[in-house]
Amino acid sequence: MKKFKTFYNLFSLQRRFVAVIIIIIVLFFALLSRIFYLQILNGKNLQVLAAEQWLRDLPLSSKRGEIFDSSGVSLATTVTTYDVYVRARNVTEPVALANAINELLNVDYDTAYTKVINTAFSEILVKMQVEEEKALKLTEYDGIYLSQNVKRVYPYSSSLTQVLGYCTIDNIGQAGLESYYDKYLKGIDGKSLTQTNARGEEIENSLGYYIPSVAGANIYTTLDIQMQNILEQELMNAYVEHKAMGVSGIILDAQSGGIKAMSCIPNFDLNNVPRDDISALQQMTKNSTVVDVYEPGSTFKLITLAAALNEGLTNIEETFFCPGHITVDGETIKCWKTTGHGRLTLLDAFKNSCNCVFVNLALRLGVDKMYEYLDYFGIGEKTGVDIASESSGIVMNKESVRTVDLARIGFGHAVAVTQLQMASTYAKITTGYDTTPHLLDYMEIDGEKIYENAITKTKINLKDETIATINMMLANNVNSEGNFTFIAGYDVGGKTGTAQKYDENGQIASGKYISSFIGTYPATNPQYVIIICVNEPSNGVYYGGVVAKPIGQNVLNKIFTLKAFEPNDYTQLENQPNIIMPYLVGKSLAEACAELKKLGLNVMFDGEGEYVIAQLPEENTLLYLGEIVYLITN
Amino acid sequence: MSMKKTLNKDSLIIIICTLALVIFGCIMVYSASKYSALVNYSDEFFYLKKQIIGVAIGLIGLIVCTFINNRIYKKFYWIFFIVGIVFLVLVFVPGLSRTSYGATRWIGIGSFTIQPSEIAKFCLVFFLAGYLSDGDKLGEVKHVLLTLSLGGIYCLLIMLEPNMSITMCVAFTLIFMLFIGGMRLKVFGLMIVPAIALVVVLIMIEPYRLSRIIAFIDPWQNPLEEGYQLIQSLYAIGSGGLWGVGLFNSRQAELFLPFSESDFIFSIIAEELGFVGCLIVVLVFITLIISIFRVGMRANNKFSAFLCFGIGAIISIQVILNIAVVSGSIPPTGLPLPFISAGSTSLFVFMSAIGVVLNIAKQDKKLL
Repeated sequence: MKKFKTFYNLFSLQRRFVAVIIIIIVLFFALLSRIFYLQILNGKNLQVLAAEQWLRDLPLSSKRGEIFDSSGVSLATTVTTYDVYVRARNVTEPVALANAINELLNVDYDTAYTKVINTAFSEILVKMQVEEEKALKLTEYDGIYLSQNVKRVYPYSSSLTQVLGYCTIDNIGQAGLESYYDKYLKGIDGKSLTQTNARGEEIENSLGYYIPSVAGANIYTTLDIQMQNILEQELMNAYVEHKAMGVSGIILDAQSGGIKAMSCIPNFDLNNVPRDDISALQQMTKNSTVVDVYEPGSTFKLITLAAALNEGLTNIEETFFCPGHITVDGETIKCWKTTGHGRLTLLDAFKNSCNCVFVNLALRLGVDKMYEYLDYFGIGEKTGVDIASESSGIVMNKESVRTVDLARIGFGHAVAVTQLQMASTYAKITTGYDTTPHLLDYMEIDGEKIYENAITKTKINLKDETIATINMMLANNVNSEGNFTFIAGYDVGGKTGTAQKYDENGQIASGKYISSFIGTYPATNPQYVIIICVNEPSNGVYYGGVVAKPIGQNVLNKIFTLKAFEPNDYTQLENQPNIIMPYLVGKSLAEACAELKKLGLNVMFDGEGEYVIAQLPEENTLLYLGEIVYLITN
Repeated sequence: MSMKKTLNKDSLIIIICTLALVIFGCIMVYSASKYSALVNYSDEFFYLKKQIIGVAIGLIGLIVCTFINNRIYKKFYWIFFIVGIVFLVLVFVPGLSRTSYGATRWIGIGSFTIQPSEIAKFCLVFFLAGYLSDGDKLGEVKHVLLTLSLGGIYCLLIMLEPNMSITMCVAFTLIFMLFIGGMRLKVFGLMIVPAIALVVVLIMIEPYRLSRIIAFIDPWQNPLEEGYQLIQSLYAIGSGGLWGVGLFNSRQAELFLPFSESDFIFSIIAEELGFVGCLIVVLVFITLIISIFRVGMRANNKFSAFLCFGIGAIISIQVILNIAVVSGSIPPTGLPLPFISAGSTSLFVFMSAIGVVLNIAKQDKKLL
């Protein structure tokens, strides 16, 4: 022991030795603190980052809900497609696979081959939205992986373009119902997480995580695809015939507010959305029946009429005198018939659409009463329909309304409305009930209703006799002599309008009109209101009665036949037009008018000349007694 | 002669610690390599088998060295110096050299490869122990400079491979030996300045070192290149938490962390066994190192003492550098964790060195 001590002392460097040992131990504990920091204090952060590279997630798209019409016909549905990916590191037969891709997916061979051998990426997209059969065939090769997807399909392609809207390639609703109810339709995407090694290859027997997707809700609408198809077809015909800028129409269930049909032409195939021209696409996607406002013209006279009748300021037998113009506040307002209608009853004034009489009624009402009724009827307010970007229309600020403005509002000028607003207002006035126009009936998932659109129906402040009188007057407008002549046997009412368009400076755009027709059926207590608007007809004629009314007539006629609606009067079913239209071109206006009067036909004419240069309808057309004939003078 | 008589307490601790570390090493090498071995060699036991062979060879070395009187080495200390140099030069002989990852660190005959720098660093320790124990050499500046120059030749040769981490290991061992050997502190202070200058020069001649250092400061700046290895190591360590994810459950060993069975095995230990596992491993190393130093302190002659200190120093420095690298505490360099990392050369030389220490302990006992 002594000897050992001696050496230890001899060595005499024990202090250095202790220092070295302390340094070593301190270094070890410094490293342990570092490990402690990494594992315990910062461990969670590192784990999260590490987990990102351990798991590969594949999205599982949820099945988007379907859209149905009121009878359960599918309007928008989804089909399953597959996105095809290649993982080059797992490919065993690159040439054969590239050939198969080339044949089945129509991808050119060189592109396919570059992808198949590109090991720089763990996964490369080959093609999106491949049909099931082709995709499954490809999985016979090593290295092919599929990601399931759903593609939106619209069985009625270009029908309901603006109403249904469309989706992005990722199935996100971009317009119409697809966009408005997107959050219900889309459901919740699931995902599948698989554990992989550093090369992105799945680890065998490892635990995966599978979060199933939740299907979206199915939407049942108030739409009726049969009515829609008829409307769509007739509007398309009119679009061509009148060389119009646009034609649109709505069929509204007047009792419930449900929209049965709604169409805007031009339209496009929803299965093949023309995305190349974005501004054109936006223009065609816009639901102009709800988004665009227009000056309604004569169809608006119903509002003045309803207000004046309800306030007891006039009655159906009151007689007026129309000199062809009326001066208000020193400004002259012309009647459309510049020669004047002469002496006429309220009933005839509505039928002949006399501006002077309605100026009179508006002036009798005064600004306060007029605005009270505009408010009742929802003019200047959004209807609350479930369509995006609805306009509220334009009504002058009440305080700044001059008497002449009030006079103009009386016959539908100096005010702007949407087509849906007009249809809805007609429904309110003719039924006496206020309902919110809507497309959604209910939503369901797996047969279970998850939401039902509650129909609010409130009585509006109109007397029953006012409503009855109005409905009779609307029927009188389109029929003659108290018979159902507009559509034989069916009780239809209606009103036409021809409105001027304005240019961007607010000046009247010469020769540009919006011709409209609003019909009610059955006129006595309407179930349906139909509105047809032709924007800028440019094939010679533009009067609502000539352009829009026949479209409405055709639509209703076809719907009655297709839906086999009961006629309101069987005895009139065989009531056919029996007056033969004469050939009047070249005759003097006076002569022509006398001839038509003798036949029992009414006449409207355009132009200031003395001779007839064109007539509508053509010679030998069969007409009902009292029908209106249009003459154009030189 | 019973075991009790031949083994003192320190020897027992050294044997237990060494065996514990190599057996634990085999388990961890298997755990860290089973996935990559399966993927690359279709045999999940590929590395484990190699490691078991390494342990067997190492045990032979350990036993043989235990029975070779260590003082014999003193007579041949210049021979050790020359043998070390020869091994290091062999790396550059065409036909023998094996290059991988841009460095020529191995010599090979057939499928058998050895890493000469692993052997050379022990040769240097044997040489220094002999040289420094021969009188009070370090009192004179010329001997200090000579020692530094001779050690410098080793450093230079290893640096040429290049193998920065073993160079560091050898350089630190050299400094340690000089310090323990009684070099005057004034001279020691004077050495610091040229040493720092040397580091700067080294970085300048090999720009990849600078990118390693940048990667170390912020590995996420370049996560796919220089920073990748360190990020993967940190993910492994961070995923371990207190108790680890469990033995054989490493995710990072599934090809994410390269060299997980060799230089980065400590990260897998941290991932599978958590902070508790790391703590235990470090404590075993500390116990082993202190026991080796105690044997050195009790040695009955300066040469044996220096030999123990040198061996203890190499183990300490290499363990510290390895853990510092995998935990991102110093710039990454490749250096195996003694006794644990896969690698037969490393196992053989470290276990043989333990045999030398045991022989010193035995001799010490005899004298008592």
